[in-house]
Amino acid sequence: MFKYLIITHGSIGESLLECVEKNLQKSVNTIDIISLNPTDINQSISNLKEYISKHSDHDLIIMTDLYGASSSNIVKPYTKNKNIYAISGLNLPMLMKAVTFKTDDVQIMIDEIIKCGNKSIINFL
Amino acid sequence: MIKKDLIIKNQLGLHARASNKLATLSSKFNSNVEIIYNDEKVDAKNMMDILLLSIGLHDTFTLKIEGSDEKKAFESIVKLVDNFFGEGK
Repeated sequence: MFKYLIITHGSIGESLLECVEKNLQKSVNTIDIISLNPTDINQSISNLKEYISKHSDHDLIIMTDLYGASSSNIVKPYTKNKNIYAISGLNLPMLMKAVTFKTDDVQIMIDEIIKCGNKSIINFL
Repeated sequence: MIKKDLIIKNQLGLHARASNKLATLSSKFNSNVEIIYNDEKVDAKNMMDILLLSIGLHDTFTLKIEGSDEKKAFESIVKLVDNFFGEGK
């Protein structure tokens, strides 16, 4: 069983999770959120450190909203941990895939999430 | 193996909630359940793969089911489609 953490600017994370729950018509308790504190990045770093420490017995898939930004940069020091997997470019389809796709293999899950995120970007005009 | 074309009758088509209902229902059966639409084939137990087909009102898709409980699965899915995915219209 994986644990998901999403790290986003503002309240993007809360909004995305709310949309997932409305679409699936159920509450989702496998996803946690850290919203960046724009005035105190150290607080966000501290929250992340505490969270990772608390969930060291889980495979942890971290999804961030913007590669190169603080939401992703604060994760980088932990990507060498064996139980930490990080993906950037979070969108709603990726989150819905994470909640609905069933597998025990963390690498397959990550591949499916990324594939879904990419596949969802469509020029339909 | 059962293979049959179905027409979407509910106004919103195979949108998120309808796709989730179809995937949840398909997952209850041991049979392989696939949806074929516009030459793309997806696993009907995978909600996001169904959703991304973007199947709308009056669109026709092919339902392909193969396995020990294929008849029961087919009847249940046809019922879901015919009942407008529980959306009333």
